[in-house]
Amino acid sequence: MSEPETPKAEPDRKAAKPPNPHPARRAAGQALMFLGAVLLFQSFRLACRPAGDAPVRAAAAETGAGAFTGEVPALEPGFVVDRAGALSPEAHAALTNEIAALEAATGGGQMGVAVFTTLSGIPVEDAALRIARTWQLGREGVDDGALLLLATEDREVRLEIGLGWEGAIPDARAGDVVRAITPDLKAGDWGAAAVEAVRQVRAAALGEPAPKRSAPAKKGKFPIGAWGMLSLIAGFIVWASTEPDGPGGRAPGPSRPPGGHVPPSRPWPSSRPSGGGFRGGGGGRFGGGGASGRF
Amino acid sequence: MKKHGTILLVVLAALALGGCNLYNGLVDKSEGVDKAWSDINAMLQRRADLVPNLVNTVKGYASHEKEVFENVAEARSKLAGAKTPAEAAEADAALSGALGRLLAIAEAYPELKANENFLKLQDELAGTENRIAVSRKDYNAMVKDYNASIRRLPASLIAGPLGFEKKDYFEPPAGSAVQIAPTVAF
Repeated sequence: MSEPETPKAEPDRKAAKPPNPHPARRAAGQALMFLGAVLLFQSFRLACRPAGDAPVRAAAAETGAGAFTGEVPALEPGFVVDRAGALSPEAHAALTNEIAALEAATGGGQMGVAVFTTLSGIPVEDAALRIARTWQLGREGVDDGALLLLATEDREVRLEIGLGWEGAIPDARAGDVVRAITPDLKAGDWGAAAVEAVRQVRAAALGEPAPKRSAPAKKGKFPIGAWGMLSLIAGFIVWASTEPDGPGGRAPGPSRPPGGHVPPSRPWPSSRPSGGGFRGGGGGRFGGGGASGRF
Repeated sequence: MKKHGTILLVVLAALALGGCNLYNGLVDKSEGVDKAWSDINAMLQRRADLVPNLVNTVKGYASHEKEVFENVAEARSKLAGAKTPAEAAEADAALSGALGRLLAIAEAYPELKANENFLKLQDELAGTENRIAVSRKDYNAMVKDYNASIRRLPASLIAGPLGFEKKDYFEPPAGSAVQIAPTVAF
């Protein structure tokens, strides 16, 4: 600490010498104090940076790794976050490939997979919505996102469908997907289950090539109607302007700097993988569509 | 004297600007609440649209459970006639109870439980109920924010005269009978 101070203080003392030695000493003292304050501030900032990550890790360590405790982990490249350690490297790779294929086939749709051991008593619907809204899977404005959440010890599953895919993948279809992967889940073959889920979501999403909400594609049975559509659009505007501390007071999305309200205290920038150009979720919204199941 | 006039003008201009900002902020929040409300309504409508399908499917297997069907129909029509958020929330909770009893009936009919159409309707119903829960949470958060801001000091001075009134939460009124969870009995 003292090293950088003395050389800086020295020129001050010299500069102030001609008029009077006493003011010079005072000036030097002030310079020292200023430097000290700057150093203190800097070290404080440095100390604060890793602290952003600390709570997440501490929480994970306390309740056993792999538990979802309400804190949403950062989205990882490949869109697979396996906190439970349930996926083998091969399964992980197969899954990220499948997800990439889905994104390519749907022209930008994003599906995430989150695997935890337990949800710590949080209802699976709440947990999935929280994760999906934080990750913002799907493109902004198109909302073509989906999330598969598995809780291996709780034996719960949820397929959360983004607003833009609710037409192509109504809840009944999401329920079909959940039922289709239930045997794999029962057998504990998490990788196969997740890959199958992504594949089925892709197939369902492609059944309706333009995942906008322009056509009443609810199998003609459950039309949302013009008002529903209007209110969804309206809801988007509201949501976009109030999102950070709006619904549920939950975290802002990682990739939303244009919103201008990225709270400085949130650990987003530091807890996200830096470099590599990973852009995270695209800004898709979720309204609670999808299906849950137990296995 | 002239100097005082200038200062007064500047202060007035600043006040007017600040007032405009406050007003616009309140308008935005109020609009936000209204839009969240229409979100809820869309979801309530969605659920109401599901009901006839569901009832017809169950009727195919359990046509003699007339009372349950009547309860569902009654709750559904009450929901359609609800005007305020509190009324709608109460009617919605009543419909939830009636639907809960309808689904409980299904437990007694293995064929119905295995019916694919019924399974799908159940998915849709569960999904819609989840959506209602989500939009209700979003709506209540917005109402809370709005209600707090019309009562907070700078805005509270203009909120009253300009007609910004407290908005209702989406929840059944206190002491309402429908808050009691339906008893599942067979």
